[in-house]
This record gives sequence, C-alpha cells and structure tokens, in this order.
Amino acid sequence: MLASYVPLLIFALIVLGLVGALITLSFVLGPTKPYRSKLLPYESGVIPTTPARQRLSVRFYLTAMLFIVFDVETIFFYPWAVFLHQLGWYGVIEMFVFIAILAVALAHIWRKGGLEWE
Amino acid sequence: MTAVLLASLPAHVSYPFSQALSDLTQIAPIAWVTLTLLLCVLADLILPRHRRGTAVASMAVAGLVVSLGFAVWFWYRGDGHGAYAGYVTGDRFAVFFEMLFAVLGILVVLVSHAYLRRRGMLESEFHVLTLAGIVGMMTLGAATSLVTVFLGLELLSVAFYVTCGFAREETTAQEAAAKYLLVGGFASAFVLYGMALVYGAAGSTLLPVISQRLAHAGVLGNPLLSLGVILLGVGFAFKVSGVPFHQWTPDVYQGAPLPVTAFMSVGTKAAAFAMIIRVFVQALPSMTVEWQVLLAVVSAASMIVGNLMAIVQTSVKRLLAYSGIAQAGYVLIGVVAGGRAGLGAVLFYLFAYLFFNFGAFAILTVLVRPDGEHDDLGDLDGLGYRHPVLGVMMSIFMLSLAGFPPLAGFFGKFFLFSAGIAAGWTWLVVIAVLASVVSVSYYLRVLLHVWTPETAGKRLFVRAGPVAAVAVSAVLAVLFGIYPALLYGAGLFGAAPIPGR
Repeated sequence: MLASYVPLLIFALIVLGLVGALITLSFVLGPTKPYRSKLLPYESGVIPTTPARQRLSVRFYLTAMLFIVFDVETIFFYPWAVFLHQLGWYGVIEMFVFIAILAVALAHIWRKGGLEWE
Repeated sequence: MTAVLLASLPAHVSYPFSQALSDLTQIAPIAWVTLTLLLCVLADLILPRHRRGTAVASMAVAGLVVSLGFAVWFWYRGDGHGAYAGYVTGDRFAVFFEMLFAVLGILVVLVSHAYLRRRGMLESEFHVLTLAGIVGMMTLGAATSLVTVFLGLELLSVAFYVTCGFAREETTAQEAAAKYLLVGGFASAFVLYGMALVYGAAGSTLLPVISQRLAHAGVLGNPLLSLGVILLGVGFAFKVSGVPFHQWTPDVYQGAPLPVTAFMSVGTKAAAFAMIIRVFVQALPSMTVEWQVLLAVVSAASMIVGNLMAIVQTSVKRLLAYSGIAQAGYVLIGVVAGGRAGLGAVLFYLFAYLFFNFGAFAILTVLVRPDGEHDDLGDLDGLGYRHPVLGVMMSIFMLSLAGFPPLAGFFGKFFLFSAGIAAGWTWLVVIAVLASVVSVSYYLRVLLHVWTPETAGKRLFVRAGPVAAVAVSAVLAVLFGIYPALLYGAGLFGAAPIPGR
C-alpha cells in the first residue's frame, strides 16, 4: 500500500533538492549590494514611520474572535439553506436553537462589556 | 461549491420529529446540563450582583440533579442505543459516565461555592465553566464517533484552561493556566493527528464502523495505522497524566484553585479513560497488540515514577498529584487486561476514586484563607484534634487511596489486579503491588500530620457545602468498600456495551 507513495517521495526529494540548489547557487553566486532603501520592508511602498513590533490592543483579538464565531455561524447557514425544504420545520427549529445558543453568548459578551471600545 | 456539496450528500434527507425526539432522549442528561448552562449564563446577566453567585450555584446543582435523575432512569430502563446517525449513544456505558459526572458536578459546585466566596473570586462564571466541563466529559462517555470524541475532549479542555487560571493575580495560577493550555494543545494535536491517520485507514469516523472495516481488510500491515494508534496513545497518556507525559500534572494541580484541582483530578481522568475505552477497545480491537503494549509501558512507568516522586513532596496538592499519576497507572492495568472483568474493574475504580480522591482534595478547603491556600503538610498538623470528624474522614480517604480494606480503594485495586492476573499480565500486577506498598508510606505520612497532638493553629474554615460534599464522599467510600458488589455489578453492566475480546 505504501509503495504507491514512492513517486510522491521522489517528487518531494526532487523539489527539495532543486529549490535548495537554486537558493544556494543564487546566494553564493549572486552579487549583494545592500543599501538603506533596499532593506526596507516594502522597498517601493510607503516608508514606515515606526517599527512593526508594537504592543497591540488586546481588543483586536476580541473582535477577531467574535468575528470568527459569527463567521462560522454563517458557514453553517449555507448547507442548511440548501436543504431547508427537505428538512422542513424541524430544520427551522433546529437552526433557531443554534442561533439562540449563540445569542446567549452574545448577550453575555455585551452585558459584561466586551463590546465597549475604550 | 454548492454543486459539490449537493453531490456529496444524499439526494433526499428526511428527519421526522419522532426521530428527533428519540435522538434527543438518548442524550437527555447531556442536553439537560447544556440547557442549565445556558440558563445560568442568562441568570448571571439578569440577577443583581450580590445574589448571582448563590442563585447560579443552586441552579447548577438543580440542573445536575435532574440530569442525574435522567441518567438513573435510563440506567434502569437499559434500552439506550445509538442516536444522531451513530455519532453518540445512550447505552449503559454512556449512562454510567453520565451518572458519574453528574455526581461529580454536584460535589464540585458544593465545594466551590464556599471556596470562591472565601477567596473573593467571581462565582457565577466559575459554575458556568464547571457545567461546560461536565458537558464535555459526558460527551466523551457517550461519543461513538471520532468527531464527537474530539468535540467532548475540547469542550472539557477549554473549560479547564480558563478555570485553572481563575486566581488571576497569582503567578502560580497563571503558570498553571499557561502550562495546561500549551500541554493540552499538544495533546489535542496528537489525538487529532492520530484520528486523521485512523480515519485514513478505515474511511469512517464512526467507531463501530472502524472496528468492522479494520477487522477484515488488508490494512493491518499499514504502518500509518500503527502510527495513528501510537499518536492516539500519546495524546491519551497526556490526558490521564501517565508517565512520561505527566510533567504538567503537579504544577497545574498546585496552581489551579482547589475545587478545580479536585474536579480535574477525578473528572479529566475518568473522561480520558472513557475515551480510551471507546477509541481503543471499541474501535480498534484489531490493533490490540499495539495499544496494549503502549498502555502497559505507560502504566508501569506511571506506577513507579508517581509513587516514588510522591514520597518527597511537602505540599499535599503536589503529593496528591503524584498519587493521581500512580492511580492512573493502576487503572490502565484494567484497560490493558480488557474483557468484561477488566473494564468492569476500571469503571468500579473510576466511580469509587471519584469519592475518595475528590474528598481528599475537598478537605483541604478548610485550610483556605483569603490570602491563599495553605496546603503544606505542616498546615495539616493537628487537624484530627482540632476537628475530629474531618480528621476521621481524611483518614478514610488516605487509607482508601492506599488500598486498605474494607474501603472502596481496596476493592478497586483488588478487581483491577485480579483482572490483570487473569489476563496474563502478571509482571504488570507485580509492579503494581510493589508500587502500592511504597505508596502506603506517603499516605500514612499525611495521616501522621493530621493526628499530631496539637490544637493550636489558624481557625479552620468549615462551611456546610464543602463539609456535606466531603461527608457524602467519605460515607460512599466506606459503603462501596463494605458492599462492593453493588458498584462492581454496575461496572460490569456499564462495560457490557463495549464489545468484548
């Protein structure tokens, strides 16, 4: 069974070897003339004013997590919508139970001040 | 995208209300705790601040009692079967664990209510998280699909990641939370990778189907399947804190608040054993040789290392953490031995262990002061003279952990070891017996401190809730020792749905 993976292994080895060889060759043979504007993160973009490693407000994580919760909810809606006619009223009730559980979570976050941007 | 989705699903889906009701009945104890959890969250938002804690605690206890009632009813009916297209089940194995975790949840809420007030911590959210952990544990007992197993595992782990760090200002609590999060994440990753490989070999996530397909297919020589079993074993060993994956246990147990430690030491362990039995014994009987050897080695190492390390501890929490590692080793003997006798012994031990190990941790709450927990051996000095009832109960727990007759711990070990001998694992049982002889020394050392003739010391924090929980635990630890047939019979019935070898 594993024998069928041998071509994949050979392919992986070729890829690694080729990429490794190319990078090594360009590193050894290529000319390096660094100067200031060439070393900027975005060589031809806006010139950065501050370093990138700054403290980030934790609220961004909160917002991101909230986004994911409701994003996943939306993803659940698609297959449900496709099969709604066949699922019938049971499907409707079930989805509202699901939304109700998420609504409890949202109410908790709201009441505890998780949505306040201060 | 939609076209692909439609093609991969059956053309006609039909799920009538009667089916929905029947499926919901099978998971009624779990569903009821989930409902209680949601109501607790709402109550926490609506009620005035000073009444929240008590109200949510009583709601949690009431919900768990009803859930226990459902479970006991289903246990006596005994006609549970698979539900939700085979993803969960309400068989006696599941119901056994639902009863176990409902009882555990009630005890945890009783202990934590007084503890959190004493330490001035947020209360209602703690109970909500406890309920979430209970739902996860119950799901692990009822899961008959790798997907449901993982769902339960994550649900219980996430609840513990938060509650471990509940004493937010303390560095030990922060360390415990961070350590448990990282180690738990590793363990989950191992389990998930193992599941992926098993799924790759079997082509299904349903445990009975995996067992069927691997029984008569030419996949057994597949090294990827063996690798999957090994990865699953590593992840499970993390969860039961088996050596060499135990290093997180003492630190996390010490840093977490006492009710969480008590909850985790019993609950996570029982849930992890339910998961091991479901996945290894039910789904992978054709890989028995692989996981038997793996678990036997972990078991032997846990018994040796756990018991030796416990001898040198000065903190009772750490001592009990190492003792828990050793106890996991004993229980693994039952899984390795297998069969109805072995699994019945495992279920007996887990249910009895619930009482005497939980009680041992819960008794330490009388030493709690607002500035922190005082759980050094020296803090226990004279407990038996200052409060004889607590002293006697602590003696019951310690002697039961050490395996003295006629306490529940003795019969637990007796059933485990005799199942091990009957299955031919004599070397493992010899190690276990020697290790438990060593263990007597440190359990008795705790009792030496408890019965030091000394009446001076800080005032004990004795409240009705924790003392009731401790008393119930002590009475049951004695009862199951005097009359073990009751619980052992239940254990045998509980193990019956798992196909024997």
